[in-house]
Amino acid sequence: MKREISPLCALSLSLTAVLLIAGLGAVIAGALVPNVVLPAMDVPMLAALSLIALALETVVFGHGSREWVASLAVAVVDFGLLSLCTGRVSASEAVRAAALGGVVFLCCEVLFHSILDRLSSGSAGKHLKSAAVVTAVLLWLASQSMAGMGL
Amino acid sequence: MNRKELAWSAGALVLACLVLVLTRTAMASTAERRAAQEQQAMMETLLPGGVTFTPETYDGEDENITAIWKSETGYVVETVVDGYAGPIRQWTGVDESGSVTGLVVRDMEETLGLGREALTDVSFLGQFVGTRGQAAVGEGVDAITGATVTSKAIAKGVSSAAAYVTGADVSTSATEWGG
Repeated sequence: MKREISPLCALSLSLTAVLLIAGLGAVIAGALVPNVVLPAMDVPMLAALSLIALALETVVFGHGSREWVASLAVAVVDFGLLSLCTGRVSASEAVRAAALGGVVFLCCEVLFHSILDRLSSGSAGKHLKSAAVVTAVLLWLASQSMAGMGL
Repeated sequence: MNRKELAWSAGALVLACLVLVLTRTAMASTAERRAAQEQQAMMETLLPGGVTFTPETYDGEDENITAIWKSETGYVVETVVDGYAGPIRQWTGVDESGSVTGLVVRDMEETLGLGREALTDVSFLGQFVGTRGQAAVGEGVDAITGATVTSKAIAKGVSSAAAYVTGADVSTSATEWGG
């Protein structure tokens, strides 16, 4: 599939958009409903945000080659800065969010694209967008085994 | 990624940060006002008859107690006790005689579908209303199915709150695991 921008740029834009929406939700919910108990920033939550971004990237921009180290750097910066900007975490918690978010994101990305690489070479390649969504859902379900592990 | 794309990515990130900070700033006064209103309403619910809730300093030995508010009819005690996945912060209303008048879990990180049910399980939380002194799972209090540690932690918080008013001794050991 032809891409207009590089996979890394697409990934960066997707992840920023997803984390912005999640951050806005947390800020607005915290202001309007003070007694709301927001989900913890544990592995399943970080995996959910990562997988939504990966699925969004594939659906909007298509499936392309990966730069793992650069992806990790993008994820670390995005998770750290945007969590800090919500005002709901301290600086040290933002650093932990950056580190854990980066690792979780990288693991999700490797698994996500490994599965998609195989699917895209087969008959499912005609339905790549659906395959991306299904892959993301299945990986998130798998991440539930790590509920409670987090910041 | 070429320079143009790098600029797009960096620009998007900066814009996202700005949006979050500006939203937070714009909603700060609303957040403060709503938090105060919600706190007052919640405390009035936990402690019927209470109107004014004045923070009090706690200098006792119970490490579970983190804050206390004194009112006309009793106290609202905030406790933080370690649950299964993280600390559980709860408010317990206790009248002057040491009887629990209300309980609400304010914050927790427990497992979705298990310990997290304690947020809304009225039948579980209602067991503590009217108790005096020690509240213990298995001794008059039924735990939430599949969430024994969470249940024990909440019971420990209630015991600490009641003990503050009655002056009873309370164990501040870690929440026990197992049945």
